[in-house]
Amino acid sequence: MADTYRAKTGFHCPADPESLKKAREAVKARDAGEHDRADALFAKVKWMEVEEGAEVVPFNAEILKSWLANDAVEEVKARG
Amino acid sequence: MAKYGSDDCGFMLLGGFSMLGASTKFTEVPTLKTAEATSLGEADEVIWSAGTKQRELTQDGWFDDAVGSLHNAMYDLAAVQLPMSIAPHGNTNGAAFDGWSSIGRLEYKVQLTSADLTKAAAKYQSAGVQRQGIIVHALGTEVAAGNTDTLDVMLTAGANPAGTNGGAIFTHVTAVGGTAAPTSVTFSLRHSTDGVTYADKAASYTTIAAANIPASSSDYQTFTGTINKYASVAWTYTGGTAPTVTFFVGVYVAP
Repeated sequence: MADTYRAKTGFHCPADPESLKKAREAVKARDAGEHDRADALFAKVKWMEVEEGAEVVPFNAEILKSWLANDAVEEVKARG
Repeated sequence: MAKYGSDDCGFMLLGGFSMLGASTKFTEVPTLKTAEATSLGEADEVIWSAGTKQRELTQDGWFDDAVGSLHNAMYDLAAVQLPMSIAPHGNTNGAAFDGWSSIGRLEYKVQLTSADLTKAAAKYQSAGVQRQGIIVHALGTEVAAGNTDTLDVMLTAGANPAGTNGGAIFTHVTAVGGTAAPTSVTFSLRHSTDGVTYADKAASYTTIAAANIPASSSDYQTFTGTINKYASVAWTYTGGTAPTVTFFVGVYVAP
């Protein structure tokens, strides 16, 4: 069963693995000054909005890494 | 060295007043306040810094009585102090802007001369701090609630984070509209280490009421702690039908 995390703050991120891949490429393009390419890639990204306190399950390890790098979530500990 | 011309100036905002089109010249004169500190036995006068700076700003331009322009901003010399932001490097996301946290309106002159266009001049005094920051949302109109996460505005060209000693947010709203205008707009500042996940840095840090535009539709506030490399602003509306908002947001990172 996938681990569950709680949002420490509200946050906004890609909603699925394909969107995450496109967003990563878009960030690289933006950093390289390729703004038209970045805009085209970002246009294909589906986003999700998570409110502070909401419980979320990462869709893959890479998005979890991004959430943790941004201090956006904390793991929900199982009781008992 | 980059050089900038007058056509590069992207905006000149005082509160919700937008005065670029009525301006021909803008001057800031910072003055270090000093005091005489000569003691007995000293042959030459000694002057020391009194520890404070004064910033006086002057503006020359055209008489413009449009709502939200120079005359509207200055004619009654309202006592309320407002943030001011100017973009000498252009109205572009990621470009630098100059901001003053609190500007008082001191003097306003309308100059009528025969066979000439009517001119106007204004004098201001900074009652707060002067900062240089980065434009996170260039002055422009948005047609739906949203955010600038996909712009990846970098607060630093270096490594993450942009800073660890806090900073400040400048916000100016110059207009709302739509089929029916919203009653207010709420802004949040987000930041990101990687440009992918944007977490709230200052959730709902200000709400600007439409009824206060342009006289009091701006906000300056500080934040503490770490601000990451990428910054974004998000906005939501209260009320309205197909609402729109015209605004600028810039972020200063403390060294």
